[in-house]
Amino acid sequence: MTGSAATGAVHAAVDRCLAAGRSLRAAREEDILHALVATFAALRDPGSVLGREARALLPESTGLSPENIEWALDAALSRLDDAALHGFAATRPRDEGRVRHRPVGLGAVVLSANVFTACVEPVLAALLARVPLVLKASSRDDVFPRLLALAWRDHAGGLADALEVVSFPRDDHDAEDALLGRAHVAHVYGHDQTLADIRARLRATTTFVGHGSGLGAIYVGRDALRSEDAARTIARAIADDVAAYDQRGCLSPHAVWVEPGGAVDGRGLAELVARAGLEPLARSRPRGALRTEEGAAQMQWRGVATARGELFEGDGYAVSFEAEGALRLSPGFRNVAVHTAANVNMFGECVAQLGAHLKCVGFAGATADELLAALPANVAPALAATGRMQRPELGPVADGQSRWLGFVTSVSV
Amino acid sequence: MITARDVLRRDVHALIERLADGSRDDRARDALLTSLAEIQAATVPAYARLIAARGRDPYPAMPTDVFRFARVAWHPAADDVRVFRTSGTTHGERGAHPFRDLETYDRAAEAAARHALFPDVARIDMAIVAPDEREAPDSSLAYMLARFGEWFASNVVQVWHSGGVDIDRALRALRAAESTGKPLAIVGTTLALLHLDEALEDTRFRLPARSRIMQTGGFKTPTGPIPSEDVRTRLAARFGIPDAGIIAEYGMTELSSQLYERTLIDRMRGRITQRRTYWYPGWVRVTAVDPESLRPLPEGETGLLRFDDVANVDSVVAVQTADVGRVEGEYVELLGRAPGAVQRGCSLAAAEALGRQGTERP
Repeated sequence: MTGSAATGAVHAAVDRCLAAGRSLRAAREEDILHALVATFAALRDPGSVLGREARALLPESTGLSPENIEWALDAALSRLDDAALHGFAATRPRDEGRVRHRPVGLGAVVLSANVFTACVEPVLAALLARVPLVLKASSRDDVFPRLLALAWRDHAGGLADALEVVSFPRDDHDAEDALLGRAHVAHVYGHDQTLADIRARLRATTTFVGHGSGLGAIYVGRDALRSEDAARTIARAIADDVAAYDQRGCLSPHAVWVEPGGAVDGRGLAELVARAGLEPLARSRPRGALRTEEGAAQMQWRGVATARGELFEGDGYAVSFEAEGALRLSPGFRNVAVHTAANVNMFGECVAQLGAHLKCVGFAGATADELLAALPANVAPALAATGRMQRPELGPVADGQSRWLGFVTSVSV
Repeated sequence: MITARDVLRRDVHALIERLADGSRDDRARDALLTSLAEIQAATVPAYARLIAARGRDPYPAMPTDVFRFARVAWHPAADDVRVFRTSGTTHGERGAHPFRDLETYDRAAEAAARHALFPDVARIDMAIVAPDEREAPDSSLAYMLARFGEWFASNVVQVWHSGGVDIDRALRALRAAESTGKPLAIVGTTLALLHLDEALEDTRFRLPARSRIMQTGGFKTPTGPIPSEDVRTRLAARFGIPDAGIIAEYGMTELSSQLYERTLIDRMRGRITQRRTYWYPGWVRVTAVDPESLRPLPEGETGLLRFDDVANVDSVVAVQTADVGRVEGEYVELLGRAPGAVQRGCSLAAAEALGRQGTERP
């Protein structure tokens, strides 16, 4: 689509979306919830037309294997049942005392291409806040957002136009302005530089909510490693977190810190993550093909791992053990580092350097409160048990801030 | 007492001498590479660890990043006569290539340059547009260019000092070449040559026949690399040297041998070609490997370039780069470096926050 054509298409989508706003604001919550549950169920169902389409198109658009696509669809969508969505809706800010809340007129979400299901939560938040929403899909991968919008259209009746999808190259600033210039809030996902560039171009009338680069880390306390069987279970859970989305997500763990003193030490856990975790997953849920630059980054990272410690590698995965070596971020794509941390406080010191980039901490053998106490004040990651990092509960908080941020304004009366 | 290193080093020198005329003997080269890899597997700790992880069939290549994090040498640091280092990085670590002696490096560098860069002149006036060896004692390029001055130059002018062009010296050298009719070899980094080009403003030259320019290192601007043909066009117009007389060199801190664009070799062989592929010396094996498996690709296919250089006697002969290219016979087409930052995952930009590194030769 040419620049002017793309801009015209964006304006048309925004017009339709704005027109649907009145119906959306007047709609019963039950009707919105019902449409959302049906939308997600249709995409999850491999027998539905859109479910089949998703499974046919996503391997090529995302670079993930069909098995990993299937896993991701299940992980992202199976939790979105009626009860979960009701629970999530209940977290929406409510009028209280002299504070009133009201939805903004139009939301926009700029998506990145790394995790194809990342649009699910902002769609939920916007529509349940009764904010019509335009998704700007990555020009490299717009398959899932478009299928999601089609599924919504199938089930939303008179609210069908409340969710639109557009796509245009990142350097098409006219199209971008046609969208973001008319939106009241823009949630932007992507690299930090992308966020900074968009923010710099944003009009003063649009609220910016950034979701920048991130990664995950894992802490395993010795209590979780009381026996080899327990360690094996933890190793499989870690491998599951690493393999999801081929470790391309902002929740994906890149490094694991292990407290000494268990039946299995850090080196042993590294080997178990490789042999008992990632090796079987390489067969049941293979990694997608690497591009040349991804292969080059992997080659360098693995090579250094052999020089600094030990490397356990196989076809499509590798685990390094570098004991107390300095953090050296992996290139992703199922390459993960294991280190030793004397205790949970030392873990906190090790991840402090990641700052706001630390989006998720997986843990075992420690409590969430112990972790929170150990984490420095400059990080605000989601906390999840190992094996659940890529299956986060549908909650009201993401990236250290409310999911409703920007979709709902607060007014003191 | 003669050591295994002495024997291997003697064999390496003999092979370089035998193949200095551009001939090939891949069987002899491969046998020597295997002998060196075997002994390096036993004597270079970092290489031994790589082999422990990867096995030795075939011998794995050491990724260039390892030179930044581990000592890659089979002799103790106390025996180093020189350590060449890669350029500084945002992360602080610089790759280091220690040498116990420089004779093998010298033999390889002189033989390759004689064949590919100075095949038609015994000696030539030379202008060096790169940091001086005394200014940059850990730069392999500065070292090599200083030796070029000794091996190939009738007269040497250093026109790059303290990070900038010495415009007076440059003008004197260029005008002297024009007035005497003696050809001039201008050798340096692409970056420094472009600085010189800018510093010369409106002054243009018609250097005598057989003048030449050797440039190395590429040049990047904030918006990306300047295409090499654009660099050549600028330099050709500035100095009045035909396109074929502008030769790119490819070298790395981690290697002891260099590659050169083939234009002068072709001219000496009576061939005319527009192809800007690189000739590699017969004592080097270049292989394009699959980026994921690191297995060799069939000739002509594009992959990451692996170099097996017999002149790397005291470190490791097999070096795996992140440079992309394809190999055809004795030539390599370089297609650039795979960017360190992977674009597809948002998590990886965090790696940029922690610092990314390159392995450019300073």
